[in-house]
Amino acid sequence: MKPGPSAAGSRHAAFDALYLRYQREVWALAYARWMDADAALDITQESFLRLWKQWQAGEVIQNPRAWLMRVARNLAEDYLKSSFRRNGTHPPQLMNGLKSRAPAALDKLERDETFAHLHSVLKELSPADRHLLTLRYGLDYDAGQIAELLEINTTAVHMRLSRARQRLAERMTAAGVQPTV
Amino acid sequence: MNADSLPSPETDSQTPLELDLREYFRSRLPAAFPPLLLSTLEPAPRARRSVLARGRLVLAVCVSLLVLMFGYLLAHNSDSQPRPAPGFNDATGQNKAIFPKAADLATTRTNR
Repeated sequence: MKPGPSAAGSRHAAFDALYLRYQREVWALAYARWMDADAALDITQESFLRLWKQWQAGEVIQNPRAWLMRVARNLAEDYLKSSFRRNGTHPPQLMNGLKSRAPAALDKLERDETFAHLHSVLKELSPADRHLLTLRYGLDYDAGQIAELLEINTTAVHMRLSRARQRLAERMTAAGVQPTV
Repeated sequence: MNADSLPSPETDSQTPLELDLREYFRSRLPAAFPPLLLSTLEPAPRARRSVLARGRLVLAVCVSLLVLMFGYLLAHNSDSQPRPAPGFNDATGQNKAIFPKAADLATTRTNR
């Protein structure tokens, strides 16, 4: 039997709630892989669209968060060769203007330079380190939230974060870059 | 301090590196995620189904017309029996003489 309009509406609403809840986490995972905000957004959208298709097909997904993370991880791995990268999920004009917040005007140059250094040094770290740093500093997750998402304990989160920061600092020092603040 | 707690963005315990990291990641994080265009993924079954239904109906009408025509032709032909071809006037397929033999002609003449 086909679901009625109210059932379809509630399904849409449930999916929207899921999208709002997990979009940043999926983005963070994808961003940590390639350090490309636009690609991460594409991967995020594609992951959710695939989840929606599964729902439409009547597939029962017990843990949508874990499912999304797995799909996003696979998509991120296949990103370079995948067709959706070439074709895009949405037209480019829809993506324009959504990439980042505008920086302050006065110290834009200095910030850009710092960010460029950070970007290049972060690229040298492992995706796991980057994922941890993105969750902590991009999404402001505390150790408990990170531990829950990564399915590790909080002590391990503290330890890994500390090591990731240390590696980052060492590389920045080696590159002759000092933090701006 | 709780094991779960990490310094919040507002606390002073953050190092300059952490502040830079926070600014950096926030500059990369989309301000707003674009809405998913789920409507583009919805199938349009109605129109497709109506086209299919019409095609099937036309096909059914054509087939039934053909069957009717075939039946009519069969019934019509069974009323008028076909004439036997000359030289073959029985079912055995034996060839019978079309012209009478010369001996038969002679006997008929003598009888006259």
